[in-house]
Amino acid sequence: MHAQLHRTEEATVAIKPQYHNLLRDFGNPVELANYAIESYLVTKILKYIEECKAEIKKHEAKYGCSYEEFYGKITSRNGTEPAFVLQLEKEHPTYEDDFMTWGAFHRELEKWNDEMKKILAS
Amino acid sequence: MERRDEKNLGKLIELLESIFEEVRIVQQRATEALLLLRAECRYRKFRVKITEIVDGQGRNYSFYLLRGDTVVVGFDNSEDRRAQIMKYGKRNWKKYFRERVPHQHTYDRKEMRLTEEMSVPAFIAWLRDHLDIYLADYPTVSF
Repeated sequence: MHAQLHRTEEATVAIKPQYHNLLRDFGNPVELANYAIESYLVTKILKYIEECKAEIKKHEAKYGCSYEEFYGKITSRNGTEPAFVLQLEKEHPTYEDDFMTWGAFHRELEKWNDEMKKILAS
Repeated sequence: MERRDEKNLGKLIELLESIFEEVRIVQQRATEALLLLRAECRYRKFRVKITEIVDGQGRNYSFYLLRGDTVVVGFDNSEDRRAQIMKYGKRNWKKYFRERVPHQHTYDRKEMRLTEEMSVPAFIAWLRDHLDIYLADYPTVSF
């Protein structure tokens, strides 16, 4: 499996004639269609952001720290064996699965927060 | 989020179900940007924990064979400083501190060994072809 790349493409979407006629009663159909898409995206993204936050909170509660703190301790760049990792291995022998999942949702949260900002700024 | 990559996820689950017993999907997500699968199952008398994540930063995995909560063997490519030092040496590892170095944890995480990148099919092949030979290295441990 490979990570897929997002592509930015302009697309033409056909509006059903009956919707087009109704939209004209409220303004410019193209602007309104884009507004509807934006509203849909905002709703979807907000829901997903909440899901990401819930996943992150679950891991924060389990390990008693934020992802940034956890990541910093795991990948400490000092020259000695980090006591934190040795203790972690005793308490959570399969901690890597949480570490990776936590990281994935952390990145997802950052990404979708950025996307949300872009939408709201446009 | 819509499940765009559900087909890949479905194939992975099918594979697990064809090899392991008592397969339990702990977590799954398949969008264009994130594929995530966490599963627990049984292989012979061992517990198995599978985590497979693919996102914009690449692929992350961990596969554990457990006896109770003790790691019998584990394969993963999470960011691990010890694996980076093992691969690049104490002088050079800092240049590669973000690299996900594939590695293996031996029984009770006593040792770490570098490996090739491991996939779910490769893990299954390892269990089939190497597990019994591997267990023979731990004659005093009751599996």
